[in-house]
Amino acid sequence: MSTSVARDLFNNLQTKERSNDFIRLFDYIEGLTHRVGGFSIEEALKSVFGDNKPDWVYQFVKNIPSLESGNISDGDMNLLREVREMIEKSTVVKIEINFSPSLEFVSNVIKILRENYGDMNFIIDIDVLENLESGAMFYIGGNVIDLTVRNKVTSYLIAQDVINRFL
Amino acid sequence: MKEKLPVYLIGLDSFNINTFLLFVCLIVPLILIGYWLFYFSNEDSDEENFENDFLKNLEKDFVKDKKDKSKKKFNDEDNEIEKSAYGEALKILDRARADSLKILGRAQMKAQGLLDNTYVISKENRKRLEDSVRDIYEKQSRVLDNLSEELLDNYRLAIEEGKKENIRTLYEVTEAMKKEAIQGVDELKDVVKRETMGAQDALEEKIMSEYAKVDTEIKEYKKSKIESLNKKIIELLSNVYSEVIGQDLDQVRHEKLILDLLDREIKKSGLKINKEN
Repeated sequence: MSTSVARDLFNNLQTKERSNDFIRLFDYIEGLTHRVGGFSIEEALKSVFGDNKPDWVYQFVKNIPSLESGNISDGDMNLLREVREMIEKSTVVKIEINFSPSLEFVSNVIKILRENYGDMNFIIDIDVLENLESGAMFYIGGNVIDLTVRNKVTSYLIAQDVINRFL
Repeated sequence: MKEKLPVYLIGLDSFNINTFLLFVCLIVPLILIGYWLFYFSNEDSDEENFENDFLKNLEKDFVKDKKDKSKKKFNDEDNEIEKSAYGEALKILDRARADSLKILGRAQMKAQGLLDNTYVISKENRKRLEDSVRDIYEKQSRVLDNLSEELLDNYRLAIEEGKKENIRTLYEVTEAMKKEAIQGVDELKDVVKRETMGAQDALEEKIMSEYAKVDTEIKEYKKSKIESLNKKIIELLSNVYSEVIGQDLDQVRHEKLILDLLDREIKKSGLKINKEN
């Protein structure tokens, strides 16, 4: 059961940035001497992230109510630890893109990757490069996938032998 | 009256004139017969001795005389021809000597016999003897003259033969040299032709090789240039398309485009991912 919850929580993270934020929060919570009573998620978030509270926290709070109540049990800590281990063991996919993509885009990327590579855990590392041309560059497990529009148009023109056919 | 007897009959008192006449008529013919018998029996041996002495001297003089003549006349002729002609002359001389020996031998013996018996040979016989000797001498002289002419003719013939032989040899040598020269020229021509054709073939081959090399280089250069040009054209077209598409894309469509491209590319390439990565 916990594994399913941990997977849901992990799937909610999706990006490397959000995963790093989770690890920072987990490390903060794990470093506390008293997690029962006296613990406040708000203080913890403020302490770790300042005023920028990540939205994925609320999904975590929803699945782990003890975070809200301030009484974090060992089972809850193990669940969080499990999520962390999944992050550490996941495959990082780096995407270079000239805009900040939506979570839906990231979710669809992970969905496509899982459809093609089975039950693997993926963390998407988004690198926004404004000067990059249309499309995106993917780096997966040491492989480069050039999905820029120019590259695709070039491949299409060559494949269709446009010069000899039309010029 | 008794007639005085000849001296060699002194003492033969019994002889009278009748006896003497009888003696003369009987004995003298016998003596003459005996003399003639003796003469003919010794004729051959004496003839040979005389003949040898006479012809030796004659031969020496004749040969010496002809050698001198030949030296003057044929001084520039070939030694080989001279030896041949000289051999021929010696043969002729041998024949002449044999002939003259017989003739002179007979004459000598006749003369010697007549001279030795002059006391019994009349003047008529002496004259006959002298005439015979003169005839023999003249005859011998003619024979020797003929021999000289024959020898000269032989020399001339030998020289002419030698000249003909030389001319023929020269002609043959000339022909052989000509033939050899023509053959040499033909061989040289063949060699030159062969070498020329070989050189021409080599040159043509080299030219063809160079031409092929240059042609290949030109084709490669052309291909490279065309590829470079095509690449630039495609880049230009791609940039234009990218600009146009990029301006026409909002984020939603952009994201959808990327997702479609990602799904298509992964399926197309069959990209494998190592889980450990």
